[in-house]
Amino acid sequence: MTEKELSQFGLLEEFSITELEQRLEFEAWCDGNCDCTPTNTTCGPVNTGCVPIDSGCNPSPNEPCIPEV
Amino acid sequence: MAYSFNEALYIYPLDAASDRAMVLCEVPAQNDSTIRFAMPADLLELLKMFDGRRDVAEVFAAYDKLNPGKYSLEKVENLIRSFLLPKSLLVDLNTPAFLPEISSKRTTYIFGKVRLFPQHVVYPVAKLFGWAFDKRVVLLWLALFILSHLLFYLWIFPNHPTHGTHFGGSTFSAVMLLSLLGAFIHETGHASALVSYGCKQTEIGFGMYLYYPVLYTDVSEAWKLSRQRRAMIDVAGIYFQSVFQMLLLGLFFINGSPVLIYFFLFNDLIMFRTMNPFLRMDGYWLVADLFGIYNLRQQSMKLIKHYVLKLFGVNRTEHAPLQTLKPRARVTLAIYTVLSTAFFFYLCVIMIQISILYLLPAYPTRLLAIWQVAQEKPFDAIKLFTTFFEVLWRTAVLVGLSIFAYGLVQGIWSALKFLVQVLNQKFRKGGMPVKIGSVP
Repeated sequence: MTEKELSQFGLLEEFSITELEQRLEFEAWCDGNCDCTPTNTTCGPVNTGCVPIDSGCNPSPNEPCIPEV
Repeated sequence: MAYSFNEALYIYPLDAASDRAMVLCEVPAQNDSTIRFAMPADLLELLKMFDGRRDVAEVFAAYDKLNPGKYSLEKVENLIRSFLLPKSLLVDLNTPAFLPEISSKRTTYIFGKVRLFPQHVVYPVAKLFGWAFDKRVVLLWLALFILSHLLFYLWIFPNHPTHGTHFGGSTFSAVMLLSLLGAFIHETGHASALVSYGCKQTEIGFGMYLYYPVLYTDVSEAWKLSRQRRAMIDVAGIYFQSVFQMLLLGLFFINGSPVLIYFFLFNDLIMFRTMNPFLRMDGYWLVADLFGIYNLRQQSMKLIKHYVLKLFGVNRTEHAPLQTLKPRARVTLAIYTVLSTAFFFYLCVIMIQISILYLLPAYPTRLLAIWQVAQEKPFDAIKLFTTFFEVLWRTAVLVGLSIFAYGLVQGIWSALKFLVQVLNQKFRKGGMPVKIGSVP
């Protein structure tokens, strides 16, 4: 009988035995922000609601942009 | 057949919010690893009665005399054969000793794991910071953390003319590099807390979690510590990282670099996200430890499974996970289950959006961009690095999303198969409720 089957048949649960999960504590240091690298491949019309970012685009790009405070 | 309790096991009390006393049982396993089981203290009493002389029936009779009707002989024999012997909790003295394998069923939530710093590197470094976990030092940090944030958000940031004007490629790269350094400091924080409480086994590595590239610290040995100490290990990452953040804020007063302003903001964002309890980041462990619910995700899934089966009119012999917990932990688990289910659906939507609408269409163009940047004259190493890094990140994210999607489809398929199976059995029995534990 495999562990999966054991678990399914409730034997381990009946004896309240649980394998504790591995504690790997981590931080996603690079999440959704990682692709905010200024790029000049998609130079579109300037978004007036945003401050243009100096990323080498000519004319000024509108991405990624930070809304003006 | 006479068996003996494995004397090579390490046993500790397990600090958990269970309805009975629990113990942590550490089993040395293959490849220098350790398997950890939580089990009731009274079951351990039974296991310790196996002395290599008496057979199973004799041990059971002696135990049953002390704890009448607690377990049945048939089930104990079944447990010995299919679990206690393969996992080396009991040993047969007539057969050669062996180390159990790590179960293939063990959930690995980080894939593509690469060990960057092994124990013999991490341990001496972590040991240097034991003083940081003195109560007075922690309180001082807490006060400085609050003060520095008030100072930053009420005075420095509103009065600094950044407004994105300095946010070019080089600023971005500098912020990313500082964040990477901050991430290593974060992991050192976890390891330092662990070591300061007398644990030794740890390592720092790199891997992918869902679609996030992550740095991880193995703090599994923390299971043997009290909940309070485990919680300190959980927040120690943010503790160390925010000290680094405060030091760089101090540097800002010397050189006034806008990079440090962006880093402060970015670092706060990372620290905020890492406290999300629905992903297996620091927030998850903090909730689990503060409320004493071990295997929080697993128990939450069991709770869902229990009520789904109940919805289909299928009885289960096992108790609902809530019944094995103390009242406060029961409420926490129920709330956590509802919120994490909602978050899971939200995450699925986000992941579909990221992959289909954003990552996949732009991937070929970004790949080509590496070649274009490499050909540019004059050669710009920073630009090449950021472009290459971006493509690397996109690739890792796509791989992560694919694995997540595969796991999701597999999970849905298994759940459907299981439901069909139990409903089939239910109807075969003429609509009578079926007990899963007694499936023929």
